[in-house]
Amino acid sequence: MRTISKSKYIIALIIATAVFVIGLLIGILVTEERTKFLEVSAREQKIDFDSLQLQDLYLNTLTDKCPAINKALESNLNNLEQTRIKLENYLSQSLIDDDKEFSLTKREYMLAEMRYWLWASQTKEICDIDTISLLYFYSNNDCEDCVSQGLILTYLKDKFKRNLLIFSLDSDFIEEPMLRIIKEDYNITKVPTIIIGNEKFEGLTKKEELEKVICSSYNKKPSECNEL
Amino acid sequence: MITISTFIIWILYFISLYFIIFWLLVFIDGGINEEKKRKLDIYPMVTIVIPAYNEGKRNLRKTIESALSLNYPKDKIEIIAVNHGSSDNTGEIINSYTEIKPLHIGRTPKERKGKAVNEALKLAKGEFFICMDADSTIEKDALIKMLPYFSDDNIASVLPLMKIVDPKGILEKIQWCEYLVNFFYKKLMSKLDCIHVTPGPFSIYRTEVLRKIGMFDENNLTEDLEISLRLQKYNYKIIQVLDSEVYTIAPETFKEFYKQRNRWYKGAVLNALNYKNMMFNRKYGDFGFIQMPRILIAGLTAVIMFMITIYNYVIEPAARNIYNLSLIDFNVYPSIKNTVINFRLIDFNYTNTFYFIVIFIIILIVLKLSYVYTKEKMIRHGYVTIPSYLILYSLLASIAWMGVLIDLIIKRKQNW
Repeated sequence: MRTISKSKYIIALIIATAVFVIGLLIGILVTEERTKFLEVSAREQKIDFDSLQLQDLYLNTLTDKCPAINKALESNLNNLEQTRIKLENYLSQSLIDDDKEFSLTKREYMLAEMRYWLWASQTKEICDIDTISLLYFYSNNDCEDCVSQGLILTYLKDKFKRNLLIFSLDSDFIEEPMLRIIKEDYNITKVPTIIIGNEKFEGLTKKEELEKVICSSYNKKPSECNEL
Repeated sequence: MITISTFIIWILYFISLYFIIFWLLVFIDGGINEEKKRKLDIYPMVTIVIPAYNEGKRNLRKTIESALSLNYPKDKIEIIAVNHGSSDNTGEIINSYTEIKPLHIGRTPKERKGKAVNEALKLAKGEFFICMDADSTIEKDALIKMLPYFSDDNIASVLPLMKIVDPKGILEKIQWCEYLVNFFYKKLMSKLDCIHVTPGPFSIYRTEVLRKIGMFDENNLTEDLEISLRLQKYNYKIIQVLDSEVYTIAPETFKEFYKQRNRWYKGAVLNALNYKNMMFNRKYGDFGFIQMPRILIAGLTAVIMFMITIYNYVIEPAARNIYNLSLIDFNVYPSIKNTVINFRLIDFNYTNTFYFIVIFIIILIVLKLSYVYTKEKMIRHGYVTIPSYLILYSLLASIAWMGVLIDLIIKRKQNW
């Protein structure tokens, strides 16, 4: 009868399992850190928004200060977008399929996006600012085109800078009634879908087409439109 | 959310980790102890067979001369060089040596090296029988060093440490490094009687045992692997030693490398399947429990890991990104700028990073031990050797394994 190194089989199993479990624990720890970070950012966003409202209240008396408020809005929105992208990224890496914490935080972000969107259309009228608002509906589930569309929008944002405001909404996030209302209002059935003014673009929309529409929507064309 | 491919990678990672840790435990438990030796008071008769098939252009002369120059009584050593139906000048080279016994036999298409070795085995007068491939040379004291390890009648074979001679190109250097690791690993296998291959260059067998278990398989792709499995089946011991060295040449081009590995890996899988009854069979101890499964799953693991990694990190991103980037005229600056500006430490995927670091450290430890126990310097053959081994070896082996899998699926015939 030949020997079987039973104890080594068991010890190796224990060590390998330990390494594996430690890896998973590290993952969970990082997830917690990420949740904390996102929560703090969400609070910051809210405070930013409150501040913006206050600025508005003050500036309403001085209409010529409109550019300042627009600048604040733009930079707030920028921060919001960047943290939203992070949030989506963390969600995709999360070990837990249905993370409540993330989900709640995400809802806050979606609300913030919609708040800013409403805000932007209001200030545009009052202040008579020449910025374009672009509403972007995306999905994280099986939407290859959304990845491409996201890249195109990042490109456009970099090109038009302050003259283009992009508001991204997760089309799947129907837990949020406000989102449902907007979706119904614009009759959103597909992702990606882009709304500029009264125009709706369904499916992947190329940058050339978007550039054309954006440029034609400006009252006074910015220099970026000249090459078209 | 965990994707299926991550899940599969994790399972395979776990299996690989398990095997490495198991063998490290074997090492930790008693280290590398030298096997018992007996005193060589009388020199036993030894037969060396050099099978040759169209070896005229290669190192046949060197091999014969190396065998002739062994430090051993000349009347106790019998060298048989077999010309196995060569169409080149192999026969003439063999005939030019008067000190060796030439044996010229014909060759039918199905026959492989086993046939040539068996013909010599039938004539062999030695108590010990050595197969010496025609691309190897041996250190002078090999016999005197190795024969004492036959301390027990149950020991059927003693194997030398095999090294690649004078590696020039990067591919040869990678294999040089691979051999050091493999032979350290084989030394550990030897501790648990788990050796599954007695390589062609200078493995010593007991002649009587070979005859008893039915000699070499004449139509086998890898007769040296088959004979070892058979020795294991009959519960004979195979011992790996690290104190005597044999030198062999490695394939220089990827094509040759691929051909060689295709034969080795395919031979391993096909032969292991023939002996599958030994798997998880208590009668065969650790060999049945850890070695047989490893032979069968090693290739599959390599191929799946390779394909998932390549797909996830190369093909899929490349295909997607090239299309996506074309949409924005390849102006990647905005997205890169955003990523860099907003980068945070918590963005890393720490779980996978941790797994990678753990396995990498273990591999470095194994590499260091291999160098120590095969008595090589880390910087031998330049600073590129180890990094290229670490980066390229798994890639090369996976490609070879993938070829084997494809061949097995479509049942392609193999020519040696």
